[in-house]
Amino acid sequence: MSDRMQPPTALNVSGLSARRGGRTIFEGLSLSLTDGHALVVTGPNGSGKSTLLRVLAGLLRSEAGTVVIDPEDDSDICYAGHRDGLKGSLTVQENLAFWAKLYGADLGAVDVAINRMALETVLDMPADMLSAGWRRRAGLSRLALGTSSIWILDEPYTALDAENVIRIDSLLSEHVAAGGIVVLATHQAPGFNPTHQINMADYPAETSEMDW
Amino acid sequence: MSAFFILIGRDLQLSIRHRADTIMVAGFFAITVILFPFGIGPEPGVLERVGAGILWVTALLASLLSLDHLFSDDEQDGALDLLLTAPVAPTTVVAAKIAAHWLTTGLPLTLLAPILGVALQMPSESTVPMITALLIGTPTLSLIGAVGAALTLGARRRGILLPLVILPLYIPILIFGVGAIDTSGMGFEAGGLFAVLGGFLLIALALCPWAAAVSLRVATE
Repeated sequence: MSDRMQPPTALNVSGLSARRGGRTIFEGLSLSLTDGHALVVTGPNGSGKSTLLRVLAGLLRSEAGTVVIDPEDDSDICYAGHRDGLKGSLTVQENLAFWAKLYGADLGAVDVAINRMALETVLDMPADMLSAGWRRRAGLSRLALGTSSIWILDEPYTALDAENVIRIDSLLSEHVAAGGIVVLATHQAPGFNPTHQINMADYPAETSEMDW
Repeated sequence: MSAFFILIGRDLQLSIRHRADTIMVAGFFAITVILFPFGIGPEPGVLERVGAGILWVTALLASLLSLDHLFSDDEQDGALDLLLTAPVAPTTVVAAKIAAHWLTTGLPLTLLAPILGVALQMPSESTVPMITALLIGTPTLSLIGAVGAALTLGARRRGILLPLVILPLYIPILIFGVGAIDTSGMGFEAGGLFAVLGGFLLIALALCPWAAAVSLRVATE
């Protein structure tokens, strides 16, 4: 992981606004993150947390403004959304092995990820049979493969019990300490100190009709 | 191993888990073709004349059956978002899924066709042209179909919309595919018709993965 981190990665956003369903969700958002930064995105429902994360991950086009990732290399992003992306008919092990191969992770990375998320007992179970919390853990174990330096996580704590919230928190803070970047949208306070924090309610879209 | 083959491997692994899907497509193809001798009657000459057309039309419909799931399964469980943010070009993702679709529909249909040709009283001379035409033509069906599947992703009534979008685009392949089998079955030189089918395949190879990837981007927004 460490040699992939040179040169420093940077995520620069300026004057960003995004649109969804014909409605501008937020406007005028700027931020600048580099190695070792953790950004926590908060805000009420519908304020655009998920939309912002999808724009940052490159899944959604911005309406205005720019997202610049340096070095320009999309292999550096690991996105985890509301849905875990696990294939129900494949076992946890098979799911994880696929992502490891696709992300180009080392051979031992799968075992490390399994160990980090304590997935040993469910390895041979089809993902369909897992409870919501186990699914989440299996989905998030992709992060522990250690191939990406920018993690973009949308509500990772959903369905997790207290013990596993701590597990995720320590994974995140270790990543930040090792020089990674974390962007985290959440309703609950994370168990580590983020270097940056934004509230989406501070970037409301201009609703009044203005003469541009 | 390159990302392309990793992705094909995963889709094949999934279709082995859901092998009923592949068997059903092949089963639909076989049963529909076999209905025609019952409907048309066994007079000599009639089935022989329309056999190639029946095989192609039924193959078009059978390949449509599984197109519906080409991207929608990955879209529903969130895997599509992860694939599009993974360190792989979206065109590679799409191309791999198309290849896997062909391996699980076009290829089995091609292998089944000579057996069904017997039920349609097709002359034995048309067996090799039949396999060749289907081998060149069915990948084009998967390629064009993927664009339709990506365009209609997330649309309501996708099951009906998809055939309406895709079937008109299949017409050129149908014309030249049937022509190639019939012409060679009658003992004429059909190289030109096969070349046209090959041309369609090359054009589709160049354009469709790219077009489907662009449509996917729009659909996931």
